[in-house]
Amino acid sequence: MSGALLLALLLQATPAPAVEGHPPAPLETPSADHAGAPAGPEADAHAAEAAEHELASVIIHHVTDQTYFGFRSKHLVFFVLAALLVVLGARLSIRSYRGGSIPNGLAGAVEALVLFIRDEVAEPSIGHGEGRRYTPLLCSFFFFILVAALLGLVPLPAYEGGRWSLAGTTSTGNIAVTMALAAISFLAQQYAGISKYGVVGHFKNLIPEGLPLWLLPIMIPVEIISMFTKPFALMIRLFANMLAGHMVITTLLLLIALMGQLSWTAGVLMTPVSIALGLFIMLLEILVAFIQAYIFTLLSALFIGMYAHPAH
Amino acid sequence: MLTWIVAPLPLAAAGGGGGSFLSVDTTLFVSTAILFAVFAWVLGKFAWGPLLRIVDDREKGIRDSVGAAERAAAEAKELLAQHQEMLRGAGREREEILAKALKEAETARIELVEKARSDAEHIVERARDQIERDKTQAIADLRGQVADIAVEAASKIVKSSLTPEVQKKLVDDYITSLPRA
Repeated sequence: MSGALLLALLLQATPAPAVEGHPPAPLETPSADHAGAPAGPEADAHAAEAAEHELASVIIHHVTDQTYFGFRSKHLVFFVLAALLVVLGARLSIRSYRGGSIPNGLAGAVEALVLFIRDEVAEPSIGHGEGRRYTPLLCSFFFFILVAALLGLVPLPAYEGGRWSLAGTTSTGNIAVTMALAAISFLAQQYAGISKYGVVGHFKNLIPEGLPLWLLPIMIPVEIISMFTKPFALMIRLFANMLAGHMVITTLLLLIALMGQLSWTAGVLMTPVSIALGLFIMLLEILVAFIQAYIFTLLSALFIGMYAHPAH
Repeated sequence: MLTWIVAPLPLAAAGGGGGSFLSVDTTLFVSTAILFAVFAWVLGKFAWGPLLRIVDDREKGIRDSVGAAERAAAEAKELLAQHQEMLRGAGREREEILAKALKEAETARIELVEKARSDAEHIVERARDQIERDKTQAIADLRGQVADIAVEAASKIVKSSLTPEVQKKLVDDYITSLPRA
């Protein structure tokens, strides 16, 4: 949340939005490195403004989609990577049962989470028995979002513009990816209603029974809008949370360079503070990864339950 | 195409599309949506499905074993009650047998004692009879001998002083004067 706020401020401070999102090479600033400062006596007001500009573009660069080792979209690469990791982990878990029914190693943790989703998320939200049908999908949501978020905290090698760097990324920090997840969730919600009541019954259920006729012109649009705001909320929530953590960490680390532009001493003094705060946010991100995976799963289950049981 | 969804966000205007983090990359959206659908389907089929089945089987197994254990426990309890009943019955029987044996032994003892006593009495009786008979016999023998001896003695005396008639008379008197046995 605070990250998004910061972002808004930065964007307002940025005079030329056109340069965003692309590698910071075309900038007029002589520094090609992340905030390498034009140190020296000519560090005047102009330089400070340029540095600010540079800072914003670095942050934007960090959170936007880039090419990755020849692939068009870094986020797509990390999306596939996270998916493969989940598939691999799940297969390893299944194998560790060795034909019996006792989980070994990884399967113990996976099974605990799967059972948690089945018994604490799906069954109470969607209903007994019905919840079991949606458990696999909810598990896929949960584990994918969790692994994608944790993957973003791992510094993986990246190569772009002739420069090597360490940069993991969270694919769910891209709004197109969260939109895709939300779209799948939306389809599941509609499927829950349509498979149970039929197409006509499903849309009739949207309007509460015994509603005065004159309210219909208001209620119908409201219900149709609410049909879309549910996945929209899922999309924005996940996206903003994943984005914010990365932005805050990047900003904290950039503070070193920013301070360094003011004076060498300030930069040195800022370093431990920035690293400590960055580490703290990073640990917080682990928590956020679990919370967001849980929230997305729980809300999807609740929305599915709403369409499966329209009475309440 | 899909940017209209985020249009209400004031920041989107600033982004202006093309690389901003708030504009939606349609290709990425479509490809990730399809990929996630495939991913979810594969996981459902090959991971969560089997895993949930294993768990269901295990839950069913546990439920069954608990049920079986409860049934077995009830059976064992019943058996125990039966055995206790049997044990109690056996104890009673034992006591009965013991009492009966004691009673029989007592009876046998009494009988034996009675028999011994009657035998002893019998023997004593017989001995007494025998003694009586012997005594009578002895007396009879003695009487005969005494008569003969007396006769002889008398004859010796009388031979010298008496006639045989007187002698005979004297002997008879003497005999009659003898106590009757």
